[in-house]
Amino acid sequence: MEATEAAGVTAEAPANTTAVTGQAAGSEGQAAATEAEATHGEVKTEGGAAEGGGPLSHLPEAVNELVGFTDEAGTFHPGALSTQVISGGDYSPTQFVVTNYVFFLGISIVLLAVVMVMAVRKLALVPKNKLSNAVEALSQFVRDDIAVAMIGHDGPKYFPFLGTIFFFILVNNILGLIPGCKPGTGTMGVTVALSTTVFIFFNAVGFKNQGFLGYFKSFAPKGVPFPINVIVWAIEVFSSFLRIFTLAVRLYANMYAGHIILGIFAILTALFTEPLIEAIQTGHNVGGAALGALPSIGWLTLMTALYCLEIVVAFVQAYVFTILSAVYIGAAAHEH
Amino acid sequence: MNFIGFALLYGLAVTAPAITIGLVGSKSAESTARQPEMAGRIFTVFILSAAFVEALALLGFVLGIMVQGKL
Repeated sequence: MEATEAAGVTAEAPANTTAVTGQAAGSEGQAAATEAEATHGEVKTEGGAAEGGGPLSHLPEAVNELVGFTDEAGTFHPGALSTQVISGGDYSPTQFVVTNYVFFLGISIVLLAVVMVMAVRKLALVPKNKLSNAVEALSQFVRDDIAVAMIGHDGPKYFPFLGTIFFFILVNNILGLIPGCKPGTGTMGVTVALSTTVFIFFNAVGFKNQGFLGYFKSFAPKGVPFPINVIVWAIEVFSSFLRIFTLAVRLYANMYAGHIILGIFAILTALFTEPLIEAIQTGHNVGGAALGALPSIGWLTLMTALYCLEIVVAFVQAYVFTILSAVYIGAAAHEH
Repeated sequence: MNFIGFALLYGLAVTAPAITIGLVGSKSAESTARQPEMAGRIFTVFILSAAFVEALALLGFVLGIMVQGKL
């Protein structure tokens, strides 16, 4: 069900972007887009020899190829990070297709299932299996430090839901860090589906624990005179609906922006190394080209540092999403 | 011009989160020094606040790319 919803929502994303950027494209943007289209796919052969602008002059084109761009005719050219059908070609928003993000979402689900089954195959009080130990430590972390710490003594009751959310997001984020793979959570459709699930869950918990009218009233603060009471109630209900958006965008923006930054540093490394490879192939001025390729070392070091940061971000975002879900559930479960 | 616009967008979007994340970090370091036995809880609060603030900065970054569609 999640995959269907995700495909439906992600399919809309490129169409919307096209509509917005197609109108916004000015005359300068048109020129840049045409240039980028002309050199599309042959940056390697044309670059360096065409003009003496230095490696950095090719950065905009390469970044366009990474995130996608709109040409002067208003058609959107998907980049490496854009959502597109895995077999290539166009699709309409109402069509059911497997996009590249949904494909890796499926892979991560299979991976998660395999890891979990392997972890619980030989259960013991003191597990000797390293995988079992790791999964147990993470599960205990979710149960004690997220569920019980945020919801209270009845926290373990909600652990299955929170654990599912945590491991699902974690596996997706980690899988996306493998070069060539994409994070399933790096697209708006999947994260909106996740946050909508959380929204429905904590509202159901609220209605179940406090009763229908009780949960409805719990949005208004107690001991406040009549007109302000209603206004605060309306704002609180609106902000509770806003949680769908904030939860989804936080996760999506972190994953997407992280991959753009990693991609830009990878492009910079490649752009500064390209002249050196060409010089070695043609055999003249290798020394000068090697000197020009020295910044690559710096870019590569920065990229490695950012890669380590992204590993931390993958954990922290899974943690933040789960802990916020726990906070919302806790607020809905108890009268206060 | 596009570059200047994008740089301005990101620069403006990141100023307030930069100040705030500095505040969060300094306050959590201060509290940890004051009460080292609460370090675990303080770190949780620090990570949570940092994630909230960081999301704002990232929103500016992603919004720029989504609206512009090109660099």
